[in-house]
Amino acid sequence: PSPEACSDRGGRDEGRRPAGRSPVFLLLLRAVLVVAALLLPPSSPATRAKPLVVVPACAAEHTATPLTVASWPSSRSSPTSRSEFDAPVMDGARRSGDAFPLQSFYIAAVVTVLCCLVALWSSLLRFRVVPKKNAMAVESGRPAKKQCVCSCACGGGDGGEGSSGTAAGHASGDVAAGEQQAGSSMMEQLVPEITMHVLSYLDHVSLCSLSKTSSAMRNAANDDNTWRALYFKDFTVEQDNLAPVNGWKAYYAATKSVVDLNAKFFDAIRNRSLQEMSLIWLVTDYVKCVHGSGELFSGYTSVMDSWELAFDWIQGGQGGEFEIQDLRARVVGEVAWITMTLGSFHVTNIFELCVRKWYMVHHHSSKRSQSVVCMGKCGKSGWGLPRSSALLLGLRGGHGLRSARQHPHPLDERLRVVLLRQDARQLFGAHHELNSPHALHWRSQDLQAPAELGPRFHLGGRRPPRLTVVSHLNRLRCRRSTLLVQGEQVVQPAALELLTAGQGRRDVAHPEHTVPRVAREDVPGLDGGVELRHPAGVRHDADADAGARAMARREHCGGSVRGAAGSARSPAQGAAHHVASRDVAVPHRRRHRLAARDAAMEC
Amino acid sequence: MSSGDSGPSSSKQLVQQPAAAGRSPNQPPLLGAGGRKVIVLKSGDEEEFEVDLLDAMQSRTLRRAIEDGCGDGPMPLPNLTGPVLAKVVELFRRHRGDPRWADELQETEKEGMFKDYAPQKPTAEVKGFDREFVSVDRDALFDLLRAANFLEAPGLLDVTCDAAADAVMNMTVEEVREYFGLVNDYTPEEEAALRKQHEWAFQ
Repeated sequence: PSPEACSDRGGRDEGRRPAGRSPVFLLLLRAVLVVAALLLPPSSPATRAKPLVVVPACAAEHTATPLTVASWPSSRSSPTSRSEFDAPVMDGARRSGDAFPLQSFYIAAVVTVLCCLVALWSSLLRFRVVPKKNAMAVESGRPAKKQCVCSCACGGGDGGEGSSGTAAGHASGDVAAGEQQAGSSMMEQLVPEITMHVLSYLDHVSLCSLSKTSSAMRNAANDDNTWRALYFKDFTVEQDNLAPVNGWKAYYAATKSVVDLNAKFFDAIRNRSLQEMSLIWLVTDYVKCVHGSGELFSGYTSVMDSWELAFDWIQGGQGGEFEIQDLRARVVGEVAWITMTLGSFHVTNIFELCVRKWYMVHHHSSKRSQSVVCMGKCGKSGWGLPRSSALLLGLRGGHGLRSARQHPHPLDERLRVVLLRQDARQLFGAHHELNSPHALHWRSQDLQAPAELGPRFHLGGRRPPRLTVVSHLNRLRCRRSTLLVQGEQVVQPAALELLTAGQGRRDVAHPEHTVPRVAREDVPGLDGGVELRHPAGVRHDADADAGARAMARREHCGGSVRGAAGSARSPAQGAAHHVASRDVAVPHRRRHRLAARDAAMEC
Repeated sequence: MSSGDSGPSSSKQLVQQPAAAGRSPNQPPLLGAGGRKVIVLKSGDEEEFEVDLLDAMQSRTLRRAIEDGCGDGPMPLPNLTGPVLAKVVELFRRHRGDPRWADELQETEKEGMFKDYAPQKPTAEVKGFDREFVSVDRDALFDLLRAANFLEAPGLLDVTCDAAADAVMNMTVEEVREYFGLVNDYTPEEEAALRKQHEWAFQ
C-alpha cells in the first residue's frame, strides 16, 4: 500500500464538494462555443484564436482552486472533448479561408465577453461560498482568525461594537461548523501539525499500531521526520547526515531488526545455546569469527564448532554479567554492522540481509586496553604494557613510570587491573626472576577480594584473601623479590585479575602474600564471561609449565624454598606442608611430580 | 509560581495577578499598550478573563495581537469556551518563566521589557500541575488541543500533545480507532498487507 494511493483517495473525497459546480459552467461554456462555432464557420485566424484562448483561461480558473487535484478528473474530460470538437471547426475554417465578415467578429466578441463574465461570476461565487462550506476551521481559519482577533480588538477599543459583533458571529459560525463535524472524527479536526506533534511523543510500536487504523492516520504516522527523530532517540545521535533511500521508517525498521539480532546473539552466548547461535549465522563458507583469544574461524561449520567449544569453556552461572555499552549500528543497503563495548572487549558484528532476514556473517572481539590506575597524571609505561599492569607490578622510574609503592597519586579503587599472562611474560620472559629494581612490592590495600564476587570467595584462613585469582591457571606468587608465574597444566591460558583498591600510601615491606587456593568451580571467567579461550592455549601453558618446572628446579637446587623443596621429596607431604604454612599455593599434583622429577634429574 | 491562589474555579472569574510587580517605574512602556499590565480575554460564551500581559505572551497568537497594539479592549477568542479558557489562563500563569517560550521571548525582546522573565526550570510543582491539567476526559483534552493550536502556545501544546500520546500509547488498533473516532477504510487485503509490513515492530 503506497501513500500515493491514499492521497489519491483523499483527494477524491475532498473533490466531490466543489466539483459539483464546475460541470454546469463547462456545459454552459460548451453551449456558447457551439453557438459561436455554428455562427462563425468562415472565421479568420484571429477570431478562431480567440475562443481558444479564452476557454483554457476559464478552465484554468476553474481548476485553480485549492483543490486542484480534485477537480481535474471532472474537468479532464472536457478539454479533450473540446479539442475533438474544435478540430473540425478549424479544418472547416482553413478550407474556406474567405474574406473576414465584420458581423461575425462582433458576435465572437460578444461571446468572448460572455465567457469572461461567466468565469468572473463563477469565481466570485466560489470565493463567497468556500469559506462557509469548508468547515475545516483550522485550515482556512488560521490566517483569517488572526486578522479577526486583531481587528475585533481594535474595533472594540475604538468603540465599534458592530465590527466586533460580526467577527464574533463569523467565528462562531466556524465553531458551529466544527461542532457539526464533531461526530465524524476527533483526529480529523486537528491540524496536521498538532497530529504530528502528538505522534512525535509515541514509540515505534504505537506508531505502527496507528498506521493500521486508517489511511489518513497512516499518512500521518509514516511521516519521515517523526521516524527520524525516533531513530535518533532510540539508537544514536552520530549519523546526522544520513539520508536513507527508503525513508526513515524503513531505516528504523532495518536498524531495529539488526540490533535485535545482535541482542539475540548475546542471549545465545549467555544461555550457551548452540541452537540459538546456529540460527543467527548465515550458512555460508565465508562467515568469519574472531574470538577474544585472537583465533580466527572461517566457514559456518568451523564457526559453529568454535562456539560449541566456547560454550563448553565458559563456566556456568555467568548469565547477565556483561553489559553492552556504546552500541552503534549502521545499515547500508543489505549490509549492517554494529560496534559495541562489552566488558573488557571491543566487539564488531557484521550482518547481511538474506531473503528479507538478517544474518550474522562476522564477529570480532578483541581485548581493549586497560584504563589507568592512577587518578593523577603520570608518565607512560615504557614496557608497552597496559600502564595499570606495569604500575601494579611496581615498575620504577626510568621508564617514565613511578613504582606503585612510591606512587604519589591515589589509585582508583574501582578499577580492575587485568594482568594478562603475556604481559607478565613480556615483562619477565619465560623464566622470570625479577631483579631488585623491578621487585614487586604489593601494597596490601591494592589487593582485595572484589565485593561483588560474594562471600564464597572469602576462602577461610585467618585473613580474608587479598588477592583474587580470577583465572584458573596462573597464580601470582610473591615471595621476597621474586615473582613467579606458575602455569597449570590445564590448557586454558588465562589472565590474572587483580583488584587494586589502594587509597593511601601504606608501605608494606614484604607482604608475604599467599595466593589463596581457589577451587576450580568457584572461579568465574573473565570479565563478562565471554572471553573465549581455545586449545591454542595449550602451547602457552606448556611454556609456563616449563617455566614452573625450571623455577621449582632452581628452588630445589638452592634449597631455599620450603614449599618447593618439600614437594620435591613427596608430593603429598609437600602439599600438606604447604597447607600448613599457607605459604605457597599448592601446585597441581601432576606438575609437582613433573617438577620434582625434573629437579631430581638435574641435580 | 509567585502567587499561591488556586486558580479559576467559578464561571465568572478574574485571575488576579501581581502583574510584573518587580518592574521599575521608568521601564519603557509595553508594546503599544501604554503601560498596561493586564489584558482581558473574552471567550466564545462571553466570559472575560484578566491575564497578565506577559503571561499572555506565551501564546504566539495573542503576542501578535498585542504587538499589533490590540491589547486595549477585551480580546475576543470565539473559538474557546469559558472553561477551556479558564484552564488555559491558569496554565499560562503557572508556566510563567517556562524556558520553552521564554527563550523565544528573549529573541523578540524589545526595549528590555522581558528582562524580569528569566527562564526557570519547571519545578516539581509545575510538573504536578501539568499532570493534573491534562487528567481530563477525551473531549476536554481535544478541546485543549484545539485551543493550543489556535493560541500557538508551545508549553500548552507540549503538555496536551504529551497527554494525547500517553492516552493512545499501548492501545490496540481497535481502541485507537474508537479513541480518535477513526473509520477503518482499509480492505481486508490491505489490512493483511499492513499487518505483515509492521510485523517487525511487534516482535
